[in-house]
Amino acid sequence: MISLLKKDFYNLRSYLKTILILVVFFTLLGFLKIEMYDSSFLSGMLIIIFTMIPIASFTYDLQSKWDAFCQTLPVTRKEIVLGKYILSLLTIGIGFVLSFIMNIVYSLWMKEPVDISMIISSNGMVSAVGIIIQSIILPLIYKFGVEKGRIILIIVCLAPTFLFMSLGEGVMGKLAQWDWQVISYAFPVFALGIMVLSYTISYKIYNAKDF
Amino acid sequence: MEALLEVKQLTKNYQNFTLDRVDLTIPKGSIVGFIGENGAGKTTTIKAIIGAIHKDAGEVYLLGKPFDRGKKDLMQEVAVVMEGSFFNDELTPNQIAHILRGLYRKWKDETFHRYLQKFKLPPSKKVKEFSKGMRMKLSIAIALSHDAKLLILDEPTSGLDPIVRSEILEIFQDFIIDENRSILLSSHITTDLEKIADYIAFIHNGKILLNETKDDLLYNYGLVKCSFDQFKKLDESKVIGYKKGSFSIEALVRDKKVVQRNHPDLLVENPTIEDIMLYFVRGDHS
Repeated sequence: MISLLKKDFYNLRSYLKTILILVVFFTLLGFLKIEMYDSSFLSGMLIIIFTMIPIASFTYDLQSKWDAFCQTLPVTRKEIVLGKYILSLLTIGIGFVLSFIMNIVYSLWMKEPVDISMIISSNGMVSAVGIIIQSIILPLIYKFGVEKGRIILIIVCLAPTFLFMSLGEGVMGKLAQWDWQVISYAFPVFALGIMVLSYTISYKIYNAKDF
Repeated sequence: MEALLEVKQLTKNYQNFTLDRVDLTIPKGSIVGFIGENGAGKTTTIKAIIGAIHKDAGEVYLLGKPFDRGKKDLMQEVAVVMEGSFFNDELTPNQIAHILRGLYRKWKDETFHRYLQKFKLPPSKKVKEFSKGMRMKLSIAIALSHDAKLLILDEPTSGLDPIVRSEILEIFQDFIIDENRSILLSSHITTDLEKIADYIAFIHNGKILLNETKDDLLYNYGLVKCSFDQFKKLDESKVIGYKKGSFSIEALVRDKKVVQRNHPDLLVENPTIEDIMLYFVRGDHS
């Protein structure tokens, strides 16, 4: 299975370079002190960018008909699916670490006190959102293919945004009273639970396929 | 002779095609040519053997072990080359080796590089810059580097020029010098199979029509060229198919010796595999 991950990283090499340039660009933009463009906005964007990487890996696989070829190798279908989930967690993990480092650098630059637990919990929340997006998108890609999956992803991402926008002030006010500290720790655990469920669904879909 | 691969009653149903109880045996140390027209079920058979598609019935044994249960282990012994699916073509042979090293227990980098050199393949050039023949050679180099016992090739020589084709056929013959190895080679270039195959399996409409040694096949069947009158005297059960010309008839007959004995006036020639294939599929049938 490590070989499958190696394959993904080889495929993604040029894509990752582009992402890295994007990251550097957005980071530098942050130093300009633009309103709304604070470190939490940036870390959110960063982790979401990294969440998209596994989807790109499916596009590369599609181009070379990798899934058909993979059937000729000594790997099980379980390992193939698990490999993609581990790739997802890895890329979100990398996004988390990068964003964590950047938040600290920002705080030092702005001469603000470095609040490690705050940084971890805010990044944890965004990572959890990334994990949930992955958990929704991976079974969809396995079921409908990466092209249709991409479109569904946009809908998946936009739906909660509209949902929150449509909630009235009253509801938002109540939400603000919740104990976010507790939620910020519980949410990533919840997201991982969703991912395990998502994996079993993806495996079922993939295992039934003919290549 | 001991079988390396045994396929029994392999069946797969599609809406408008059925792979119908396919039996196939690949003895050790042999090359089995798998022939049939496009859409006859060659690729479907291969995919069902390796489990890329789910079979509806039948069994597959490799080295005497059921494939279903030990697929991951048994695939260590198999190399499959199928057209169109491979690593991403941005990768280089070196990178591919790096990936495969972790998958195959018997992978040997030295062997791989020796074959790259032998086949004149640049190790750090992207696969997308390779010609079709080079890609085929790369696939074979990979198969040889993890010491595969069974090589399954789907249309390996189609679209290659005659020189590369004969080069590749030579490599195949070298491969089975080791008596524990075998090749299943699907192709519709029947002249290639005439050169190297020991057995011929002929599939048509999802069914195996013939499965014999190549020599038996060419020895048992005969091509008769005769007049309409002579044709009428032929034993119907011996005629597989015929083609009417304006003055004569050409027919494929089985039991060549018997036909020759009964009709000493007839000219019975040796058929090519292509003749056999054509008359089975396209010839008029009495």
